[in-house]
Amino acid sequence: MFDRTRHGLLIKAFATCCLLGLLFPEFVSAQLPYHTWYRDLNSGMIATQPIYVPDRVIDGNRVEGGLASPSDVYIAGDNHVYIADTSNNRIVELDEGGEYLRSVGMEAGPGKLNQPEGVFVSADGMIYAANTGGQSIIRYSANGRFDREFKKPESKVLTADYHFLPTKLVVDRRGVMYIVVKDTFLGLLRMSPDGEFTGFFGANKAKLSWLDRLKRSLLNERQMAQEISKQPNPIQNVSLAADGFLLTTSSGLSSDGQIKKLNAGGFDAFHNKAFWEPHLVDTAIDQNGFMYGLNRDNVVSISVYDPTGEVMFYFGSTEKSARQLGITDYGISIDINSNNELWVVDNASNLIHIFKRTSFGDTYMMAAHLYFDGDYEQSRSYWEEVIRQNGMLNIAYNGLGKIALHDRDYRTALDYFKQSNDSVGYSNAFWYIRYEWLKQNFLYAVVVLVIAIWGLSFLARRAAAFIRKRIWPARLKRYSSELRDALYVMVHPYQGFYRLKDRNISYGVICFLLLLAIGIHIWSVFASGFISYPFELGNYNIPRSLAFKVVPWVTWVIANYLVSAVKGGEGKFREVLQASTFALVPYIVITIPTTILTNFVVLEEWIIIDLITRGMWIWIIVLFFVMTQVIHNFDFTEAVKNAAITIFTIGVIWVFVMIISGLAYNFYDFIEQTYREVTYRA
Amino acid sequence: MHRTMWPVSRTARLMLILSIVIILILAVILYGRRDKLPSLQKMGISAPIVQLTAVKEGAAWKEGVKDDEGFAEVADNKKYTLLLEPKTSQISIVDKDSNYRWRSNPSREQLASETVKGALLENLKSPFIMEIVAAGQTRRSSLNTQSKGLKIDYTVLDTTGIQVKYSFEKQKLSFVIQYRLTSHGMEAIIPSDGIQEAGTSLIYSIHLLPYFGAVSAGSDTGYLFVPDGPGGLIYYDRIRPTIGSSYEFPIYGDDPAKLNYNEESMVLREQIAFPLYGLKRGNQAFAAIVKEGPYTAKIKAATPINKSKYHSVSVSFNYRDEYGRKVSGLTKETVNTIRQERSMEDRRVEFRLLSGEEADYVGMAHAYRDYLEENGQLGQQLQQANHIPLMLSIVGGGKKPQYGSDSYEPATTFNEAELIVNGLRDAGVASMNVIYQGWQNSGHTYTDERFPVVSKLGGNQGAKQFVRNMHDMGIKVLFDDYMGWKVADYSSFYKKTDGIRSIDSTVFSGQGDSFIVNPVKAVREQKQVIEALKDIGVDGIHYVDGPGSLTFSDYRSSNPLTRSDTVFYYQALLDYVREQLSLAGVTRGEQYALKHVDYIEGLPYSSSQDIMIDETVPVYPIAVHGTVGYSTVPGNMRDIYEDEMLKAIEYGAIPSFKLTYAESRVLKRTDFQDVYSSQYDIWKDRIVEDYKKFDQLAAVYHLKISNHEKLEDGIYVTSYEDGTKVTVNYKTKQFSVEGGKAG
Repeated sequence: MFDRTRHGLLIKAFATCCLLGLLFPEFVSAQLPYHTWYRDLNSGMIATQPIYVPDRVIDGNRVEGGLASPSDVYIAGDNHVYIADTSNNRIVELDEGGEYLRSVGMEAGPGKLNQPEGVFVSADGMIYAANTGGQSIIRYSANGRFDREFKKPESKVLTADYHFLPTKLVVDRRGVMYIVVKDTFLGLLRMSPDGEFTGFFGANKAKLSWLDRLKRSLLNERQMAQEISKQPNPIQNVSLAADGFLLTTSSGLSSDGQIKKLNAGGFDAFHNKAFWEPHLVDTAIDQNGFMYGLNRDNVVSISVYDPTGEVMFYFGSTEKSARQLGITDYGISIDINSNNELWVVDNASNLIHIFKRTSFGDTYMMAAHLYFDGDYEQSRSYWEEVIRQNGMLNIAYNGLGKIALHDRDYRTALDYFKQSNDSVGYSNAFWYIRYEWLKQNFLYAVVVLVIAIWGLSFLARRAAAFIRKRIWPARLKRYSSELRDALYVMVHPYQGFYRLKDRNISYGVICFLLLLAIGIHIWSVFASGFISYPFELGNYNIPRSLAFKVVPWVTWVIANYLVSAVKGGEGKFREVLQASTFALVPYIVITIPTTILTNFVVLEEWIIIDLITRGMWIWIIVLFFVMTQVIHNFDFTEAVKNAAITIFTIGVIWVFVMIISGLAYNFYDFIEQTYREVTYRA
Repeated sequence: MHRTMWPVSRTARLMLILSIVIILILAVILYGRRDKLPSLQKMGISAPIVQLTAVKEGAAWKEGVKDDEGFAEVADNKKYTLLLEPKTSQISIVDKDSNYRWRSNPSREQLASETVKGALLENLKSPFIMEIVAAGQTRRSSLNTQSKGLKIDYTVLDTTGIQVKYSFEKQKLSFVIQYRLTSHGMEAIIPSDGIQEAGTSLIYSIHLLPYFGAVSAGSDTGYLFVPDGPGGLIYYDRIRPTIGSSYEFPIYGDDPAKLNYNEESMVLREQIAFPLYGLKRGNQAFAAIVKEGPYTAKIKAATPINKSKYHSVSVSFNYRDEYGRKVSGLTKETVNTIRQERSMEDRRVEFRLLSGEEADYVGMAHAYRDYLEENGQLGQQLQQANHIPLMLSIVGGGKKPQYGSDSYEPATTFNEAELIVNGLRDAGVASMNVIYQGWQNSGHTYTDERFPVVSKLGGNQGAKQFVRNMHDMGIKVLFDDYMGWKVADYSSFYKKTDGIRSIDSTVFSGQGDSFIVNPVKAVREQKQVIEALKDIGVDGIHYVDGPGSLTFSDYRSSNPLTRSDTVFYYQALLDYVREQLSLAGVTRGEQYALKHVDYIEGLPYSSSQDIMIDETVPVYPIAVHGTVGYSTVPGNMRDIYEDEMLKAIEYGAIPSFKLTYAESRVLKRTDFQDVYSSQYDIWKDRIVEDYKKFDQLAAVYHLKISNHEKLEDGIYVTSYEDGTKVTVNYKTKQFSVEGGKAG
């Protein structure tokens, strides 16, 4: 459930964030009725110049009889446009410019169409219509003459309650039809050129939340049957890519894979990836594998994906009773022609919007094409041109970084990758730089290291001797012994914590340790290597990251004391406090070297950092446990119980605080609204 | 027993001390928040004086001879005769030269073939449509001259016109429309004083002369003119899709304080910048100017698909507003409510009748320009220029989040700005002026923490030196500033006390922490700004937001402001800026600002891309050209480079660019993030190239546009009063200048 709300809000939250920057001029003026958003590698969305502008609409004025609830558009190889003109019961063919050529399927007889919602034209010019109202597929020859009708195929699988209401279809090179059938979760219906059923294809799988999983494991079959069954997203639309892949589009959040790129075996090249656009209705794909998704979202209406299925741009917008060029009311189908014009069918307003690519869009898409093809050398001039026209786009710098890496200019590459927030690229470039440095300086490095270690230990010994010789004030002595005990606890938890029993550690030392832990946390954020935080550090929310550490610790101290007091533990509050503070020492001691280390490791070696960090947390947890046992003088099982109850109590405290603050705000709001109501009525 | 001032018990003493401390703290806070701004008097600005049109009493009109249709003469001047039909109160005007008859409503023969029935048919016969609501309710019902219980009284207005009083007995409601003949046509006035609401029925809106000159489908050639962007035409002879076939938009956009805009809508459009509408039929046309009450008015245009078979364009005035009153701070749920208080302003529309040559959109633009001139709403003619002045915006830089807090990232220091200017001059840009942006101390836009000027740019000293050096070259320097919207974090104003109140009496709040500051306070604060900028030597202020682009009400309980009050204070401020510094610039430049500014950035030049609007025409540029310098979009921010350059040339704009010395990427994550390509090195050559093209129009910089026409698809000609013709060809992406001095 959490997932769902998150998804639904994503685009909106996105756009709102970005709008903040542009908020004020919003009310004022517009060159285009929509914004174009660029989705930045790892750093959110920014508004850019358009890559597509609305060019014109086809309103049916020049089409005999106009258009009535058009449902599908298909653009053939010769750029001729075929439209399923549903309520006029025909297929309309337009030329490249949108001039009316002919209608198909109007003649009485077997080829008469009834509410067709889909159209496809094969390479040999055969026209296939999803004759939805007539529950069949009708095929016409290239000259528009009726050729054959395919009714619901005979098969045991297709029971009587399976209604054959085809809405969209594509036909592959062998003449096999892949048909979208209305109101079914079974996937595409695959039909051989002879009209025989050859199985379902590409069905979505319902996504199970942890609650569903829990139910599945606990409930028996009969109980499960009473649960509302989880249905996956039905497939809305299907397109055929030039390389023979099938592109299915599904709308909704009950399954992932809103866009799937399926091969003949039904394998999804996007691995059932979740897309951020929950209201997708159709996807078009161009020669280079870039995809154009049509949304019914009021923030954006068209999303442009790179060949790996990542969003690059959003543009367009949706509005009830849309009245402007480029704004759709109920978008239903999208296709692209070889001039890269996008044709979008608006079912509610009986219009077809045509979007034209701008010169910036051309440059960008060309650069991106070469980039995804791995042709870095060729892409250089395009990326440079993109940067001239828009200096804000990370991908351009990323592209140049890859070129620099290819040219073995590692330092430049490193800089470009850092600018484009690409940790993988950065790590690669850094590996080379480190390798070359080591090759040249390995001997020196070893010598320096040895001397440094020797020097440090020598200095430490001298300092220790110096300290021993002198007489120090009692207070300072006490502090230093307490700090030594803190370090001792780290390695000898039982004995160490035992030393703390019935003894008051000075508040000064406790505060010092706590502040040190906080300070080290903040320092680690800034001192870590780029790979630890591969984004603009300015976006890192330090107060929040601190809160995630401080709040649990504080509640632990309180809860542990309360629980132990009830359960007959010996520890006083102060003892719990000081022991809990001492338990943090591993964090302080280990974070420092790991933070330094992150500056010298590449991604492949990142496991070292992960291991150390994980080990550190386990260590800290063990310390907390030992602390509970020793301070309160519990035996092992008692301590386990106690720790479990403490954790539960922490949860209770949090819930309680949330409820109280919620109620307090409600109460405040009640008072305020009552006041307003009174003043309004008065 | 005597009582001591000093309590004896310890708790009582503690309480006393505590309360004293609290009082002291409160006092300090209140003192700190006291009104420290200079007064309006010191700026020589006094509150607006409202003069309402008097309602005439007595002397009932004696109708004279009626013609076949029942119309009797009311008034007469050299050019026009005003007639009235006493039964329905329909009016008509006869142009004596051409004998052409304008009607407030379709004639009886025309109506005979009308298919609509009921209220829609009644509306067609009425010179107004009034919407009323019952107090405390939101359901609206409409009244017109066909409604039952209507009494109409006529009173003569000197010799120039007539006053019509409509009294609805059942609703205990009455109001007055006055018609006056003028030398150009007619004026229709709804005086505020003529409105009487004795019962529980309240006037919501009055749609004035909804069918004046309406053209029935297929009867005539021509178009409707609506003020979309620079001007939009809706032709009669087009077959339209059913969607978006009516036009209804508020003049100067929605009033944000009225909470009447759709928050969900992500669709952008051009708000109406000038209160003009018109209609052309055959070789007759009218241009109607909303002279009073534009701030509560909507322009409505209808095509035969909706409601009736007529093409019509008209204005509708709101007297009250419906808004969603929030019932809880926790939810977004609202209860629709209508504000009880009525808007107390007069409404006045002037119809200028055009015929023959002048009966087209250029004629409307000229009529509008004449109107502006006659009413002193247009600036003086500009000085003749040897070279076209380039307007160069320079972005100093901005603050971006950095290492947990934020820090200023300079994009162009004052020294670098000088390098840019010198570089462009050396390359052949003969005349330019500079707007410097991003100098404010807070490092943000929409701020009022301004001084001292950001030290990373050069600080106040650097600014002074820069301005001095610019003056040596004869270049004027404006600094940009913000008057309306503020972000609470970077504002010295307090959102709760200084921000405007919305119609539901709550503090108005935009997205995030933004608000709009009360215009009086904003104007008073500007005095300090102006003084500080004067010290630097700056020649003027360019207002990115506020005057010229943003008008709003403030519903605070003491000293509330209407939109026209806001406009009044903005105008006074612009005049004050010009008096103190010499130059004032604004964005968009809506009509009320025209007389008070020297430069308009982004004059409306693009349509809202409405499907129903068939052609976009430069009516607003025609009306203002030669009296104020204006630009369209900065050259480096054009969506389609060549087309928008040609459009700027077609519309007589001056060239403008928005530059940084550093690469534009520096601005990423600052408030100037939308300036995506601005680096001087990248743009220099193209600026020089563009400038040379624009400079061909230097000779007409101060002249009026005399004509504009479309030769064929994609080819337009703009002519100036000295005979210069500028032909722009969007197909070949070329333009040529012929004739006149420029040729």
